[in-house]
Amino acid sequence: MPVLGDKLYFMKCKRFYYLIVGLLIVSIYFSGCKSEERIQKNITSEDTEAKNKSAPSFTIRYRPVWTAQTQFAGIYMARKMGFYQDKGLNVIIQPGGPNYSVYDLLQKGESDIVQMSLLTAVKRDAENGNLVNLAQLMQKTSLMLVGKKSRGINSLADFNGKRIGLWKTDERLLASLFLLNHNLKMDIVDLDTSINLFLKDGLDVINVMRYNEYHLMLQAGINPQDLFTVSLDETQFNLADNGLYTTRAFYEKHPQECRNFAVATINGWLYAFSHQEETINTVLEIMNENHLPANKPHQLWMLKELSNDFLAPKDKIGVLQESDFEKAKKILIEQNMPTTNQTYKSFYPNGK
Amino acid sequence: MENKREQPGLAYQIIVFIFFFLIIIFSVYIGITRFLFSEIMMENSRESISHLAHETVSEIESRFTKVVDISHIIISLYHADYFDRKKLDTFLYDLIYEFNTLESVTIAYAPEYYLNGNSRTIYQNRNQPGFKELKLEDYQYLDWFQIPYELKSKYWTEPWYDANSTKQIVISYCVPLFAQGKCVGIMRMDTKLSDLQRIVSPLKLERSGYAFLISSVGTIITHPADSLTFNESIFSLAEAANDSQLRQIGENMIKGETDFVHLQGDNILGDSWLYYTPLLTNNWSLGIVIAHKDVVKDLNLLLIIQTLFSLVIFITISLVVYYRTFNVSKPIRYFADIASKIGQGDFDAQLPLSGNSYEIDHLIQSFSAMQESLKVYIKNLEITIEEKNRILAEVQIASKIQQKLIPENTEHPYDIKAISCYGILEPAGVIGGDLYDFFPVDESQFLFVIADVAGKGIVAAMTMTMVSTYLRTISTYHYTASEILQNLNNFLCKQSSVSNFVTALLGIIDLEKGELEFSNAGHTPLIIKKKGNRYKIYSETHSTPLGVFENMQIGSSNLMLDKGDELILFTDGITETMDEAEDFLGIKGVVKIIRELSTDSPEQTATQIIQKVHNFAKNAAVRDDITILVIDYWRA
Repeated sequence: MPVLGDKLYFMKCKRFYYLIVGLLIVSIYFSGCKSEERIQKNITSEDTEAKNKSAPSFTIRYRPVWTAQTQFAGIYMARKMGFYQDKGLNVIIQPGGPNYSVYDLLQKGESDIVQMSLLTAVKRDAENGNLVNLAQLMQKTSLMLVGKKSRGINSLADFNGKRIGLWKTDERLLASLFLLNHNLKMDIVDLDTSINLFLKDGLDVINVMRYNEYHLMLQAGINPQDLFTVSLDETQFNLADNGLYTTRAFYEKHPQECRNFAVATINGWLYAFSHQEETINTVLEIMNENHLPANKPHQLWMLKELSNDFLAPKDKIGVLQESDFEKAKKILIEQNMPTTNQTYKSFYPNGK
Repeated sequence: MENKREQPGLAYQIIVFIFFFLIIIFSVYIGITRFLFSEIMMENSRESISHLAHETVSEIESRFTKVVDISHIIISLYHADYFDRKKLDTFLYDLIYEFNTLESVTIAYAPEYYLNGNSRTIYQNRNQPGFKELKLEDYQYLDWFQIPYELKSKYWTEPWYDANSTKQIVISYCVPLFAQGKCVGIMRMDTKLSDLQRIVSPLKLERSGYAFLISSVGTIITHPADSLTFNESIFSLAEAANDSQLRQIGENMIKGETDFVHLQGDNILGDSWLYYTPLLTNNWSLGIVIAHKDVVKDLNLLLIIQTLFSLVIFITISLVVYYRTFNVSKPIRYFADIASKIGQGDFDAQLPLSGNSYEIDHLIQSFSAMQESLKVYIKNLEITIEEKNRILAEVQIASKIQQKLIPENTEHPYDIKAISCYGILEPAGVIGGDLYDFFPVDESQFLFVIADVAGKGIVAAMTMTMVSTYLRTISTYHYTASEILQNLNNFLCKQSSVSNFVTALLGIIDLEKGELEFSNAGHTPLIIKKKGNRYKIYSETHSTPLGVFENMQIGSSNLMLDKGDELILFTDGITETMDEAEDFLGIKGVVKIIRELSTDSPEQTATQIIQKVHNFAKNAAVRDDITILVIDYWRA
């Protein structure tokens, strides 16, 4: 056969092959689209069913009183372990810290539930009278006043005339009342979160939490014997501290969700205390994401200290005791400070 | 039989001996080297690390100093009236652009001097000027503002995250701005933490060495492990490891001390050496860590080399010793083979001609002489043995002859009904010197004799043979017992060449009358056992032993025998038998044996006595011939 004839024959064959292959591709595509559509339908329906079953239907915005740390480990662990989800809640943890007044943000409706100390809540509630305590997390205060012996602080009397650093937030209230009660005249310096001014001898005395700043001092090379300390839990100013609060309006509108949030949070705390390693690692991850300096020994110290404050007495976990409520009011009244007008039952409706 | 353990070779013994001494010598040598060099190497490590540390400190200080110097310029310009804000900001941006040390410059005013928009940060963003106005509440309580403001002094901050402008971890130098004696604000100059890390991180010593910086409160500012920086302090590391030594070191570091310490706790620094020294600008401290194994690496290498060198020396010495010992001992081994052949009787085996050393040559010569002596000795020995065998054969013949001289034991010798005899002679050697004999002299006379020749061996045997022959000869002349012994005495005396003397007891029984005449020449007593278990001892002797005094008169005794009397004669071989305690049996012992006998014939009496004598002796050696003769008179 001539060469050219060969070539033509080959080209005709080639076209035929292309046609066959093209048809095959098109048929596969359409069949693929159909199956894909079928799969997609299945996924959508399953997803919807799953959402109906387990997806939280109610969103709660929670704002902590301070920057991310183990002080809020119960919230982190409740969220991580799905305790909120189990109760049908979607919890958003908002930023906290010295630049955020949790009470004001709660009143403005920018947060649904906040964490603050009992004393702050009782005092600030004088303004609107609408605070509701959902659960009392810490049954005693961890607040300390710490002075450097090298700065001449060896007794409470030595506080007079010296410079004291107090948080600029509402959390300073208990320390301020303690100074007033003891008639101590001090030069007050407002502080953010740092203790460096104290470490640099810019302050003689500072308010600290035993679970937090006190330990940071030890981690900055100061030995306990170099410090004069007043632990307020050993004084008449021992008060329940952190609690979960919302407004009455929110509580009345979503009572079950509020109760569920409180129960899940307490369960989160109990889980945190019994799974310390996992809890600390979770907290460290969150702190790293927020560019906050964090080390494991410090967060572990914090968790252990908090467990002392949270679990004592054990039969009162999560409960606001009436005696604490009344004591907080009494302390404020003694200093002629505004205080809540609510009754215990109104302030703490979950109590029996 | 226990196998004797094979002794190790000469080379092995010498090598083992040298090995032990070399171990001692090299151990001492290596120990001394380690002692001397460890101090030197530790000091060298300290010097090299401190040199490196001070170079690094100086580099960091120069960076800080540059920032401080720039701050002086800005402050002076800030106070200069001709510099308005716009010009100042332009100048600041130029500074940031020119000095990459600077990340940003912030001027922040105190509350009472704060006006909206006059506090700002000027920074560089991708080589473009960046500018951010600051609100009072954004900075008022931050360390970089509050601490220098409250202290009214310059301040180097801890590392902090500047979320507002540079969005990275920075270290800030903060200087208070004064106006009319009052602090009106703070000027902050940021330098990136990563820049410091770039200075410190490349510091590598050996494989494990690295450097780190801590701030004036112990915060870790740079460290090869990024997770530590900004998060951990040296005190938190000490707390995590529960390491009080590390905490104390941390306290010393933030006090501005310098030291070179060995860390052994279970902390992140591990078993290592730490050199720390302060930065004078801001009271930070630089630490350089090097693993202990790297510090002592050279020393360990030296020790390994020394050990290997020692091993090579030992092996070399061992080979030399083995080679030399093998050569020296070669003739000894050959010599040993020859000695073995000689031992097996090959006295003509050829000894080596030379032994490679004086001692072995001497040994070969001595052995050669010994070989010759042995040849002669063996030759003589062969002759002697041949002679001895010949003599022994003759003695055997003599013994047989001697045995023939003793009468054969029969129930009634010579058919004499009145007499029944039984004798036993046990020579101590092949042949003995004892004798007994009995025979009728005539029809009514029956003679018996027992004799003991002094001494042993051939002489005694020959004498005994003479005595036996002579007695048989002279008895035919009807002599009495005393006459026979007198004749025998004179005969023996005449044989003056024979120096032995003879004891003898000779008796003649008149068979019809039962009369006994006996003569005892220095012999052991005659014992007659009577019926009813009685016995009589006839201890008297009628002369001294025979063969001593010529013409000696010898007496005799006469007595009447009762029918059934049993005459018991024996030699002193029996009485002088000793037990294991070397006590003699004695005549008393013999009497005791006889008294306890209960026998029916002379054979039983003789054999039982001999048996009991042997029982008495037990395992004691028999020293003399033992002979007994028992004669029953008319027992039937």
